[in-house]
Order: sequence, then structure tokens, then C-alpha cells
Amino acid sequence: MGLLDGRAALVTGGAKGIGAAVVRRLVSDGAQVAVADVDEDAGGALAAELGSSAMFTHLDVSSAPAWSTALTQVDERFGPISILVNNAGIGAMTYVETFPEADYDRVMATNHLGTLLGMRLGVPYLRRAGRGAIVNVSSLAGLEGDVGMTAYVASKFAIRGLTKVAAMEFGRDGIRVNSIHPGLTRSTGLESVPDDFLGRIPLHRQGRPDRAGRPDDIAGVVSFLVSDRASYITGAEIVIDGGKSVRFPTVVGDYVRANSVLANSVEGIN
Amino acid sequence: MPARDTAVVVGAPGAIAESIAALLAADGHPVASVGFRFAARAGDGRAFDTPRDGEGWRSLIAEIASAQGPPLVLVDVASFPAGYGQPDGAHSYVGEVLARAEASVSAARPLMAQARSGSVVLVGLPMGSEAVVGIPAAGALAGALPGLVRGLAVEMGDDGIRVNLVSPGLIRLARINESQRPGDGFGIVPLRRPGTDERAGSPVDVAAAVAFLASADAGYITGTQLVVDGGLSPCRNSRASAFWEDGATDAFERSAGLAVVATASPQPAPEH
Repeated sequence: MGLLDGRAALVTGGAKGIGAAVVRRLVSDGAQVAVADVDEDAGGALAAELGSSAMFTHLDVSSAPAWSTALTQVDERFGPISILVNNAGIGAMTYVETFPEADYDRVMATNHLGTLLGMRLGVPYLRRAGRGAIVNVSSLAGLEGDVGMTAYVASKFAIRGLTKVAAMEFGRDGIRVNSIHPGLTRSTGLESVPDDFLGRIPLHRQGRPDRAGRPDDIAGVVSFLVSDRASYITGAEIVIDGGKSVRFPTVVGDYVRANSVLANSVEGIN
Repeated sequence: MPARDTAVVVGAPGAIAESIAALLAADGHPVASVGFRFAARAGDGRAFDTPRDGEGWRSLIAEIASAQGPPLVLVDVASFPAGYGQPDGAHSYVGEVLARAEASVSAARPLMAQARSGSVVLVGLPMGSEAVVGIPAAGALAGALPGLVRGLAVEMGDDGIRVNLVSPGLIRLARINESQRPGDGFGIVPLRRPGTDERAGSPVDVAAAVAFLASADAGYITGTQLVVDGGLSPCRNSRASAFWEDGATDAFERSAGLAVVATASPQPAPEH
């Protein structure tokens, strides 16, 4: 018995990383989950492993016709979804002064337009299910700027704004829409970066080798947000970053203090 | 059910504090309530008076620890200001709320640090996170709590202790319940409960947010503010939103002379 028994869900970018952790968690909570991804090998393998509670559906989130096809497939198999997790996202190093427009467009098409299309084309199913919750995966980059992340930051701020508008428009139907903002999470491609990659993180948990988050940390929050336990939470932004974004930004002092050899020479830098 | 950490819930008698204590107990936490009593349907629930000073807090936490286990969950529910509309009451009111939170956190912190695990949850007033007209002290508290939470989170993160704030919106309390029908006075809240006209929150909604922040599912969340308000605070309260809530969007678009590029009418999902 789980909090999500009888619910059907679709998770974009569900084949790997944070998305795959969300898929596993929703299945273990009792939901039937569609793994929607462009990666057929990884997505198909995950769905096969999870058995009858999961299915794979090919989905390029930047294409409206692809959304329609995927939603129809999932509806035929599991009935109307009441949970939509817009997780698919890509990044590219694009500086403001030099960004290639093709890279910018590619990032915005997946992260920004993909989230908007998912809400627009998915909401009729949530409405038919009689209830619904949408979680849009933004990022700390939806709250903070960073060098070389023009397209990514713009797309993640856009997701945060879209979430507020959708929360207001869908509220009268009882459909909730929230954004989550993961900080440094050890998912695909970020297994070995230093844990102060985005800045120093205050929280150091027992038994953890470092201060970074894990995909499971994000999945647990999604599980709560789509459940009835969060039934009065909408339009909210949930930051999952070990406190990184509230760290007093004494950047020079922090980085120097982290190096014990230099620590004595910079006393009083604060 | 897996063993849960002992929880201390501090507050004045009221539906929100009582709901939090009851839900944590139902979830399997041994619960000690301080300053109020609650009805534990099951499990380990005990009630204590509020200590007068830091020494009193330390001995209370020690007593709870020996009777129920180390309290690794600490919840402090802000009490309402005593006098409404007093322009000079903010500093003493905010001071009292912060002093109690700091005293309880100081007393519990060593046990949490020893366990290298802990969750502190402060709960603001059920009035939304905005300043409240006529109650400057409440507005001052709404500004103070997020800062305290951020400061404590940074201070105690190295010990594995998380600190967060729950900011309830308009919560239907008993005294409001008696005089109002569902929907009355809450029309500006975007979220409507499925199948009802209800737009207010309930104390259980606040309790569920606290229980989440106390749980392992929130293990990487610290320093944050979890707003439980049905979309009240991100809502702009514009003319458009008012018409939208009344289902009269077309009339709004006409009256405002807007060039409407698409219908606002919802499309049905394809049937199979």
C-alpha cells in the first residue's frame, strides 16, 4: 500500500539520472509510471526492470505532436495521468556575448517549451482524472545566475515563472503546479565534480562522503509534492540544495578557509 | 513502520500545534508537546509546560530524551501576537517568538549534533507570508523568520542539522469556521479543493508539511521556506485573476479591450 496507489504518472527525461530516481520512487509509492524519454535503450531497460507498473514511451518534449502521441499511448495503457513531472532538461555553455543561437534555441526548446507543452497538452488528462499535480523541475539556476549559463539560466527561470501562471490558471480545477530547484545533484555527468562546484554547501549529512545531493533526495520531494499530503501546496518553489543558496556568500573566505594550509594566513577576512 | 525520531512540538494551545503533534504521533514519532496538550490517537505522546529560561529548557530536553529518546525533531509554532493593531508591539512580540525558538534550539542542538542528524521546523503565523494590514507585529515576524532559519541552517549544517520554515497561508481555524461558509473570505486563493468550493487550508495541511520536513524525504532541504497557501503568495491578485476565479474570463478580456489570441475555454482530453 502506498500514498500513490491507483495514480498514473508521466515523467519526462525519466530514463536516467534524477528522472529515473523519480520513476522508481513513484512506482514504489504505488503509481503506474510512464518513462518518457528520447533514450530508448535506457528508458526501455528501466521500464522492463520495473515490470507492469511502468512503460516506456518515446518523447521529444519540444514537439507537440510527439506529446500527443505519448499521452495517448499512456492513456490507453494506464488511464488518464494525474501526475506529470516535467523533468527533461539539457544544458550548454553559452556566454551572453558569444552564444551560438542554435545552442540557445536547443536549450530553450527542451527546457522551456517542453515544460509548457507538457502542461498544455497534459492538463486535459489530469482534469479527466479528476485531480492532478504537476512538478516542474527547475534548478538553483532558476533562482541564481551563473557565468556561462545564459540559455540554461534563462530556461530555468522561465520554468519557475510558467509554474506560477499555471498554478493560478489550473487552481480552480484543483490541479496543483509546483517547481523544484535542485542544487548540485550527483546525476549523469556530475558524478565526480567537487562538491563546492556551485559554491559551498552548509549541510553535511552523516554517512555521506561529501555535501552534494543524490537523485533520491529529489525523488523524495517529488513523491511528497504529488501526494495528498501536499494538497494545499501550489505555486511554490521547493529548493533542494543542502542550503547552498542561503550560504552567506563570503566566497573568497570560504574557499581559502577550506584549504587548511592557508587558513592561518587569512584570519579576519570576514 | 520504521522507528522514527522523537519530536518536540512547542506552541500555544491551538489547532495548528495540536494537528502537528497528532500527525507526527500518527506517523510513528514519539511526541512531546510543550505549552499545549494534544490527543494522541496512538503511540507515545506526553505534554509539558513551557520552561521559563535556558536552564529550564536544557532540563526539559534532558527529561524528554531519557523518557522518549533523543529529540531529533524540534518544531516551534509561533503564537499569535496578544494585541491586534498596536503600532509599538512589534519589537517585543518578535523578540518573544525568536527567544523561545532560540532557547529550544540551543537546548536540543547538542543531542542533534551528537547524533549528527536533526530537523528543526519553525512554523509562522497562518496569515500568508505577506505583511498583514492592521497587525504590524505579524508582518514583522513574517520578515524575521526566514532570516532566522537561514542563519541557523548555515550555523548548524556541519552537524547534519536541517532548519526550515513552514509559512501557512489562510488556514481555516475553529473560530473562523463557525462564522463562514466554504469559500467565504478565501476567494483570492487560486486553489480550489477538488469537488468543493473550499479555498482555505486546514491545520492538517500545515501538519503534513511539517511532517515532510521532519522526514528523510526532505533530507537535503535546509534553510528554506515551504509555503503552504494554495497559491496565495505567488498570485498577483490582478483584475484578470479575479475574473478567472469567477469563470468570467471572456468578460474580462472584452472589458479590458484586450486582443485575445486564444480561447480560455479548457479543451477536453481525447477519449478512447
